[in-house]
Amino acid sequence: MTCQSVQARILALPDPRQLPDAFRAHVAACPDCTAYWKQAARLEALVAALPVPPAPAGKKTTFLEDLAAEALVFPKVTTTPSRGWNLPRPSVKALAGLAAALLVGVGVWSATKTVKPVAVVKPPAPRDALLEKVVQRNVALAKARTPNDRLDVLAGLAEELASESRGLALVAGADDMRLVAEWFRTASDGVVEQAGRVPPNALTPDQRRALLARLTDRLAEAGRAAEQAATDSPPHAQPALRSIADTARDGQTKLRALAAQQGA
Amino acid sequence: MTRTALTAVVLASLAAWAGAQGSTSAADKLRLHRANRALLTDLVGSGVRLAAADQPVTRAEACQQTARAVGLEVRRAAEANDEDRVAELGGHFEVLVRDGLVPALTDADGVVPADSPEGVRLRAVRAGAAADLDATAAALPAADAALRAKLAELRERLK
Repeated sequence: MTCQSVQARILALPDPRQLPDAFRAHVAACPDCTAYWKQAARLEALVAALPVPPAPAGKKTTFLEDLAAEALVFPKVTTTPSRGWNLPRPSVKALAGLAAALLVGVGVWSATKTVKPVAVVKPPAPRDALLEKVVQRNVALAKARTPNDRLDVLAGLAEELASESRGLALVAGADDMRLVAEWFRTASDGVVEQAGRVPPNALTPDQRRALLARLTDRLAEAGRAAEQAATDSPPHAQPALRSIADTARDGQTKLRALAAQQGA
Repeated sequence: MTRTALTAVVLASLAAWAGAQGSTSAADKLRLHRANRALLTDLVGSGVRLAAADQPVTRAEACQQTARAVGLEVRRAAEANDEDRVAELGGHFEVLVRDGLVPALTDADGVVPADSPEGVRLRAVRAGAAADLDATAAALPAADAALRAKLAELRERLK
């Protein structure tokens, strides 16, 4: 027997002041139910004292059953004692209200909680892409085993320097551009010089011909790109770009002469 | 509608990805070019010398000169407390020694008699490289323990 069922039965009694033996023991042992019973008995006494005609017999029972049917008061109590726990089942409205209150609470908590300082991650410092490429070219040159390989790597270095000049043309000054043109000349002259130093027995005639043709084409392409870039660049960058184009043409001329000289 | 939203998401993702790559602005590019102009002049010259080095000892000497030029810049950057530059150049120094100089010395060791004039030159290269590694490692800030450890390991491989 639970307090809820006892209190519902007290409310349903024709006269709560006359407590049945069935739940007298529970009321005597339960302070809450004792207080509830005393309130109900007092209310009954006050109602009886009102100057109104007495209600018809059974009117109170009918009234309570109507209320119970509409779930406005305690559910209708059966006389069979329940077993185990009788937990109240919350209504859908109550659950929705609880969920809404929870959401509001979480929102308020999120808005008012102390914001922990976020660790500031330092962005990676910009790196010099050209420097990295030149270092890699040096490593590749150190590893290259044959003159053929070394010349290909060196020609690649010249190409990267020519490309750098085009990339810098819009932002760099004349001195900066002049320096890149000097680097290109160093690399291009190195290509021509090393091509002339390839030992006769290091390559077959076909290999030599192919190597010289490849190197010539690469310098030619670098020169063409520099010449084209000169037409689209600020005036201060144009002399350096044209210098690169001239260097490339000079290199081609020397490589062709070398090919003719070596019968390649 | 879906196509528009999908396109927007793809473009936003690409923009985020590109932003995360640490792209170098034109101003940064010019600043780095000017900061590295002397070093680049050295390295372009080193490249040509390496291309001309057709003997093991001369290749090892050229490698050591290349690495030395970068090691000197690392030390200058460390003296200037330029941590970013120390990290960048320190990485290059390590690569040049690990992938260029050490293999070149190993190759030369296999073909050059120790008591020959070339063997003497090779020992000089090894001693110079060890000194460069020591000086560079000593100049590194305390925070660069990882790089210092790598240089110490390379120092061992030179023995």
